[in-house]
Amino acid sequence: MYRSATGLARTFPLEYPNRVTVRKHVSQPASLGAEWNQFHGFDVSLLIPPFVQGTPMKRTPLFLLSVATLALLSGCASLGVQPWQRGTLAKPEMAFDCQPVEFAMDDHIYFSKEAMSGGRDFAGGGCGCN
Amino acid sequence: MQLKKNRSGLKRALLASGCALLGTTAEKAAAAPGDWNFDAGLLYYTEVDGITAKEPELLARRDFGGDAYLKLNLVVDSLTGATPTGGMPSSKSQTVTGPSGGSSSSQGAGVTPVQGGFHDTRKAATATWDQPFAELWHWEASGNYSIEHDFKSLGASTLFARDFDRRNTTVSAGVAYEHDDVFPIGGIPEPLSQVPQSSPVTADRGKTVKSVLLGLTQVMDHDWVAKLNFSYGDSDGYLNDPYKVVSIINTHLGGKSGLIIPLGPPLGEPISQIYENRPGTRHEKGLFLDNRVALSGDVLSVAYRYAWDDWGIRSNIVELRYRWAFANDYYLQPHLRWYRQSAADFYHRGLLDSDTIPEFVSADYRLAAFTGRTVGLELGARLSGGRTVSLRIEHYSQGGGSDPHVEVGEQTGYDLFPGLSANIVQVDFTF
Repeated sequence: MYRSATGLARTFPLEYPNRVTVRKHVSQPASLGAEWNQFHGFDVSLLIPPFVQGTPMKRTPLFLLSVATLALLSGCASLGVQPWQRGTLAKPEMAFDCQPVEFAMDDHIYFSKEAMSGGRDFAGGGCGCN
Repeated sequence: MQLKKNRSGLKRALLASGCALLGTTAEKAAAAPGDWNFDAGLLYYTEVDGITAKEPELLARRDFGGDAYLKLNLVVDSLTGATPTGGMPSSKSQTVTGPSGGSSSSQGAGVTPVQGGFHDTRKAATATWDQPFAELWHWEASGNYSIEHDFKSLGASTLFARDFDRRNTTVSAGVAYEHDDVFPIGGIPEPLSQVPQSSPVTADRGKTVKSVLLGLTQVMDHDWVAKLNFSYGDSDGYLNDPYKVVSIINTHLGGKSGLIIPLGPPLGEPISQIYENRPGTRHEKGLFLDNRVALSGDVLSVAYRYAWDDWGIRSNIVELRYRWAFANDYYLQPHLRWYRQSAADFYHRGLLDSDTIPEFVSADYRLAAFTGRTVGLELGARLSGGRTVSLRIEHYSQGGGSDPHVEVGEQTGYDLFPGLSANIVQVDFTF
């Protein structure tokens, strides 16, 4: 039995075979009393989504994407441009929905022919084809 | 008067810059209040021995001033042709019973059974209100309705976005709700019951789809903007395809034609079919990364999506577009899309007659492991008055593997993944 930081009882998920338990040395707040001790064991694997876990080969695409995302976020301080440097960015073809009808038609085609859809926009589809 | 006009032009240019960050079109920012802009497209999609679809679509956009817009989207989708039933090929001709239980068609020996004579028309309408507020915020609300012969859908969504860091970063969050009604011809069959159904369970069933979309748009530099979306979808209700079946094949040594005493069906022969059954819930998650990079007047689009669900399906998409501008007002845009998915846990190409029928089973090829490839080219031109016209021609194909579990007897000689080869032609006109 494991207790999350919110105090709710949880069992270790069986699909997390490679979990690593890290003990955090946290000073005990007086207001929480003895119950706080039960929260010290902090399993970092619970923070890792199931899709990233598994063999290194399985996690490679998501791992790389996660690293790229973190790099993007952490580098935000040096990113961006001044308003007067946006001439290229303001071109219609630089907009993410520069071809809305074409993208909608593509979403409909692939929604009806593949198991997974969405990403660019909300999932669903309003179509009985899948 | 002239000063006022210039200020208005500057405001539009700044709005255009802001819109690029928000992922909205800059074209619409150039419109004046009261203006309507239209984007009309016609899609022709045809599969070899499969479905043919003709889909006209119109997107109308009215400028209400102050960067507020009403968007109306109308689609009519006409489908004809044939679609795989999920059944397995046979050495003999097979009869495929229609969804009504009455109409049927004969399938040749050795071919993947398809439900022929398919004809449906879908009509869909979407209205979206899109406006900024409180300087750095942006709000969008949308409602949609669609109806076809055996399906009806009603949905709504809303999305909020906020700009940060001189509008270089935009964070967005939205939710959507969709309710669908399924009322198949002949009614809802009893899952896992023998085909054809003796009597439908009920005339119709419903399902709901709740979605969450979180987005982060970041201007990387003056030539590059990136977008990262996380999506979550929760489907609940009737998720079966009422027209899909699963073949059960013979595993006993059977007879061969020419024998004086027939000993039964040949080994591997489909001897019966049952209706599929899927779980009543599905949770999908996806990460979508999109990029626009300007390269000396051209634009490179690179997108990647990883999606996964609790049905055991994992999928990857890599999509590339390169917009090569030439002769001032023309462009050529090659398009490559590569998609791969793993099979759902309950996907089985067929069942053996010695198998215990599982609680959930489907032979729908869309739940199988396969790879999809799209190769296309688009030619576009900018006309006078801000109008544009484009034509794209693409080819989409699917290839999948077999299922060793049912490679028994005569099935070893067949291609057990039906495969798909489709051509896509689309013309688009904005004015």
